[in-house]
Amino acid sequence: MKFFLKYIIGIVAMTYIVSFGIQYLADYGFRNLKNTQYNDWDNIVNGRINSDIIINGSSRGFVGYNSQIIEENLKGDCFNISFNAGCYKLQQYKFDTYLKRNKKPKIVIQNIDIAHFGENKELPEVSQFYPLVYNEDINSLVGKYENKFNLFKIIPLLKYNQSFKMLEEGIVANFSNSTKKNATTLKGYCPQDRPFRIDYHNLKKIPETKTKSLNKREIDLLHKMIYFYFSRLDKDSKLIFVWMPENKMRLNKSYDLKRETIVEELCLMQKKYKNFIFIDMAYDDISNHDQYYYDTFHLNETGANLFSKKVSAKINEQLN
Amino acid sequence: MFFNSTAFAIFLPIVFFLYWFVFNKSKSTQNALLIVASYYFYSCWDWRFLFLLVFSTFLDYFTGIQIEKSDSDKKRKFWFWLSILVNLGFLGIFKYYNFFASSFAEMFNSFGFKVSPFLLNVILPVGISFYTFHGLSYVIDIYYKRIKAEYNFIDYSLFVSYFPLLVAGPIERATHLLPQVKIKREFNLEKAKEGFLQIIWGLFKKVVIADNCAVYANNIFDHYTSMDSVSLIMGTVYFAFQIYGDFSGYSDIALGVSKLFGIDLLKNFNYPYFSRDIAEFWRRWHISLSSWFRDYVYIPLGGSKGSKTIQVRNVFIIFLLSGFWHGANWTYIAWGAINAFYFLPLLLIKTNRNNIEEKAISFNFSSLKMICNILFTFGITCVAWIFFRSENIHMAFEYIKRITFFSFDLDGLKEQISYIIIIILPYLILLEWNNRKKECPLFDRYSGIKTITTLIFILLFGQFDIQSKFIYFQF
Repeated sequence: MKFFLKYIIGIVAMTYIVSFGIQYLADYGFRNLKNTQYNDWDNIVNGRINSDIIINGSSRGFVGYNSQIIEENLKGDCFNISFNAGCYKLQQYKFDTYLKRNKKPKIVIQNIDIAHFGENKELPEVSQFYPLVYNEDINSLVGKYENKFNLFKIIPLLKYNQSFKMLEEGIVANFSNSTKKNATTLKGYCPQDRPFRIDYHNLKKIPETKTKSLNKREIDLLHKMIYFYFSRLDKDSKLIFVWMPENKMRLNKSYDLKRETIVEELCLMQKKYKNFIFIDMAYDDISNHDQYYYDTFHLNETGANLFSKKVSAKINEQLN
Repeated sequence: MFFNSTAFAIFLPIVFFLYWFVFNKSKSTQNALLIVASYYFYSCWDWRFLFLLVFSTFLDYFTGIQIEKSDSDKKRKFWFWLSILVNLGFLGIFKYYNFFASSFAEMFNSFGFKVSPFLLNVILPVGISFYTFHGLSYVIDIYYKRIKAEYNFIDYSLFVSYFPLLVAGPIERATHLLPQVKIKREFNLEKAKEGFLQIIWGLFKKVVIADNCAVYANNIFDHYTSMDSVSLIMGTVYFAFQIYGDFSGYSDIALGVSKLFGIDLLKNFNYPYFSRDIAEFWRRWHISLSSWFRDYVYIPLGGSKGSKTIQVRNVFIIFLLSGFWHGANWTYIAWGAINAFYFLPLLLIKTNRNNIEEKAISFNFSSLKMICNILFTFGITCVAWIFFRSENIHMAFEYIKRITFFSFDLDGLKEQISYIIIIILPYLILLEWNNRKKECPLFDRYSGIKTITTLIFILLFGQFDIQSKFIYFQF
């Protein structure tokens, strides 16, 4: 019996060693592949960003704010930490993760929209966290949404289960610097070289409303969002909320009713808080041109570059 | 509790530990533990059907003794037929009643008589076909004086309800299993190692091969009306591997688990897709069921002896019964009939026992012929699987008809193939081909490397998110 148990332990141990080896190779490749979201996460959790200007937001922020253009116009090092996170809580969590190892930014640009106020039931694009599964900060974030992450820590390769292509990419990343089109990041910003296509599924998500009102929860949330940043930043730091241009197809009456109340509330807050700025560009001219979008919700590279120039000019105006 | 579930991964080591460290004093304690474990295992599906299992066990135990004790032929016959009729009665009620009732009603309706059948709203007790056949073989063997009746109820109960084979076989024989449960099992390192490896290989076949192929097979069969011919052909190939991985994977796990407890079960699969003709296929596929029908139906009916008419009749009887055993649906009966048609020419020209010996592959004409024969046999088996997988006969014919359109859609085809399939199927085929003389491909040479690779494949390609059942549980 002793020999049998030894035999099983031997097989399991060897499998562990080989599997962990393969997994380590892939994780290492991803973490060190420059200009990818994996490498950006790795830099964030290891305190290698330390920018003066931080952009936060969801997927719209991720693909819409060109950090290099904003950096040039605002004369300060800029990094975009937006990610396909969906709602505000995950974005705040990423900001907290950022602050743990990096210096406090002087300016925070927060992209907002209606989708911002929802709650994430699932973690979007969970694979972005795979290479960092052993990082405590990442684990405490992901663990809230995915129980299986605890298993990922102890069972090697399980996180790459049914994702062989990703594993292969990670391993190849050790020997090549090439990144995928539309997945390459530049200081956190992820330009999308894509033509416009109508995304009916996103259009359907616009909430139906007949009255112009915000409920108490949403008003509280707006205040909490602002308080969230001010409680973490230095006194003279600036907090800028930006509503980036929405494609004209989204700008209907129902959408406006909902949006207007948020805008009104944010304008009131702007008067209340000295270091808070709100820039509403939802109806900017960019909205009228499909060539600036790859769907009705997201700007493409051309749109992002134009918008980044425009928004940094507006920020400059407000700051001076 | 499925073999591929977390619950079983906890259950097995506990029973293993108790068996070899706590209840290892005597054969009785070992058997008692295995019975408790088996009943617990079975009750995890539906504890209510435990009564049926206990009743079936008690019935065959009691009638077996009565047959042996009876001094007159009349009494022996009485107890024999009582057991047969009650066993088949349960099987008939639970598995076939609704099929017969609705089939008769349909027949009457087609003649213009309006009949609405009384249907039973019952679920099929898991494994009923398997444990009923265990009991039947035991009673038949006693009746024909091939074995002695078992007087120890614990030992007999274990023969019927032994958990590795309880829900999906292999269908054991009293002559093979009972002698093993009647002696105290001593731990055998080699056997335990083999068991462990066989469990891993079975798990690979289930969670990697069967469950990945199932994704594509289900998609193609569910949308067959919009698929091109090449996709439909691939659908049958995927299903062939799905059902093979599913059922032989289960059997491998069952055999492996049993070896951990020092008990050998009957081999159920012997690399059936490497068969050179359909007769060989049936000697390699679901061996325990094929041999059951051979020994208890085919040979008593005269087998391949007698006139051509008798031979043809016997072949059709066993193949139709075999199809019907799988389920109360015309598709299974058609599947059995097709296999009978495949088998018949071989029997009539007496070539059904041509391919008994294994042959090595080399660069010559006979090897090429052998490979062609293997591919041909696999091809015709796939055609029969269409009937097995289809929801009804009409769908099966429609599916085949669409294959004959010879349409081809490259974009559609791309959706029916993935890098996972491209890796796992050749791995399965190569490993099984190179080790086809062994019971399990992971045994012997390079065992460590093969096992570790297989485990890595399970981690990488296994389907763990879906809690998929084994197909043969429904039978």
